[in-house]
Amino acid sequence: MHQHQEKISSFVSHLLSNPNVQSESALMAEQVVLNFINTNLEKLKVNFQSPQFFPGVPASQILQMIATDLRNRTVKEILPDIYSAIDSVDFTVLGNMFAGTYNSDYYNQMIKGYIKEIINNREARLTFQAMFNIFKASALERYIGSSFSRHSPLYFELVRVQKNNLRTEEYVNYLKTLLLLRGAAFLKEELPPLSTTKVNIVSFKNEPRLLSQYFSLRSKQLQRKLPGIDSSVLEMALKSNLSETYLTPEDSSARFLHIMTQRFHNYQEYRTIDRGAETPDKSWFSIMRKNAKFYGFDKRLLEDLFMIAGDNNW
Amino acid sequence: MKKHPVLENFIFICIVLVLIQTFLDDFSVMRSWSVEWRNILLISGFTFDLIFSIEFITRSIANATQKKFVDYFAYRRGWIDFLSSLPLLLLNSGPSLYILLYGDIKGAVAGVGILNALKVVKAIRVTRVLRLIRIVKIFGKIHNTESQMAQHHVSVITTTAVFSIIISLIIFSALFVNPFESMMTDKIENHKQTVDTILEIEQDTILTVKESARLHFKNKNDLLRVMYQDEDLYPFNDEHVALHHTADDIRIVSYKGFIFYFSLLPVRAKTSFLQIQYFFIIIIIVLAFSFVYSRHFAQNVSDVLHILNRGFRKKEYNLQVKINKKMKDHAVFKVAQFYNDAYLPSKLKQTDAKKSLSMKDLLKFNK
Repeated sequence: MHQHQEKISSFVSHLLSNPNVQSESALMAEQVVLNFINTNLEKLKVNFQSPQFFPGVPASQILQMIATDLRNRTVKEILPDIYSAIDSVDFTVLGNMFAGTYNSDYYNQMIKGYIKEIINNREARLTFQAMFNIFKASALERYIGSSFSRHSPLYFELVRVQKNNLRTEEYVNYLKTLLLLRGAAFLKEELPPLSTTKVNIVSFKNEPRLLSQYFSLRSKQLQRKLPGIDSSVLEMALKSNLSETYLTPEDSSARFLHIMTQRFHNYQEYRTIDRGAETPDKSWFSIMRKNAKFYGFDKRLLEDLFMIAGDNNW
Repeated sequence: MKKHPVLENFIFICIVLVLIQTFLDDFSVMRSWSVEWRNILLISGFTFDLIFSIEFITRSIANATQKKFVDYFAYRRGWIDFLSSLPLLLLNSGPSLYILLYGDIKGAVAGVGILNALKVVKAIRVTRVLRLIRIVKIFGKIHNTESQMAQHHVSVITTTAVFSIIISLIIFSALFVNPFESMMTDKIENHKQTVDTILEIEQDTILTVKESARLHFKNKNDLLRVMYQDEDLYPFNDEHVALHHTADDIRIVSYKGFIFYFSLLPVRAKTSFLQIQYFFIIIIIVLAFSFVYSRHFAQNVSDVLHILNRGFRKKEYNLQVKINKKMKDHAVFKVAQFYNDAYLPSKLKQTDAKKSLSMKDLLKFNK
């Protein structure tokens, strides 16, 4: 077994050293390798039995070992970065919303502990890809800052429609918290009386009418793990994984984050912008105005983000 | 062909310097600079023409050995290299240097005689503007676009404009007499008539002819010296003549025993002023094409095509084209609009910009 593990590790290293993968982040590299395995599963099963690979070991065991090795590598690499991201957030806003006495350090430690739990879930883990890019590009600071200073439609949606009367910095920290916690939606849990089997947000893909019940039960369940965070905050974090179709008009933060996470999931920095080309954000929001229905984006928010990006040359 | 950056930069610097030299050459005549300075400019002009001639010959040989001479001459501006080198060396700076080295003021007849015998004096004056074609080569280095397409098109239009002006000047110069030179001819005719009058009135003695001529030709600013029957009636002011005149600046006319030494400087100054005007017209045209038209071309054609090309070819390039609203009906922007509104949204839907591995990558394992 140990001998196989070494070989598996060497095999995973070989895949990760491919130039197509090497330039990707740890999360995306893991995704590329897993996609490759899924796509070529049948061929791989045959190949794995050849003397060059793992003769005699059941394919399911090999695949399991590859997935575990990949996961361990990814988690080891991203966890310190997630902790740094958590350290950069001021959670005081959570205390204020909960009307409790918890300070930012309390939330910091609690969220770190919770993320350590959920990080082993692949889909939950993948939500951190967009979060890293949003944090790195200071996207929330820029867009919320600009929208709040000019009282644009985004401000109106977030503050007035959602009735969440926070200052600019508070809203940024609130949204960052949602980004950190939105992966919880992918963890499978029993949610009686809604379901006696373990379910996650994907389980309701074909039964959207049950989603509101799911959000309500799951947020309360989460609150037991994350005491001190208002269930409305947790519910909004879960909702930010969904497209506009499944959300209510008051879920402005979720609709906004759904757009931003899509924007920054495959975010690519352009070293130089060709003369005559629109800026990257403006281009993306403009293109997505045409694709809004396909991706389930709020068109009015997209329009506003397009204007903000254009006015700021982003 | 292999490029040598040091040589290319050397030629570039030479082109800048020769333009300055060309301007100063005319400016020095216009402002009556001393002969010493004008000679320095003449020698430097010859040196530049020699350098460019060597450059042209070397490039021609190098291209010819690779059977690319026609390509170099016709399509890579070899003809500009030619027109702005050998003809100038042979018709302008070469003969001028010859006169400087082998003529003196008193022997000016010999130098001027050579040029008259070649019947190219007029052509020589005009060929000086050919140097300005070199500015088109500078443009290739300094203008503000990296697009090869923009560089090429702007270069073609600039060369066409500059060459058209130069050809027009040459044709005009060949067909019509320089008005300033005809003024000189008129003056010579006037002096000849004066001589006729003197000889008609003062028929008694040689002495009275000389006295009368002295009175008539005194203080004429175009005359440097008047002789009658080997006697100076109106001698050189040697110091003034030596300071401001080269042998080429003096024209000698003999008429009925009189020899007149005319100064060509007043005529040359006026001609130089015209040349400086041509110089600035051409510079301004080239600068306008380089900085105004090339920018216009880049913004409205080549930059747009560059972005479209990248967007069509590169999976991860998804930047939109900025549409110039005033030109949205132009074909280029119509294509760009389609690219923005239809192609990119469809591209993003279909390709999630995912990188992938292939079975080939897997099979390389443990080999």
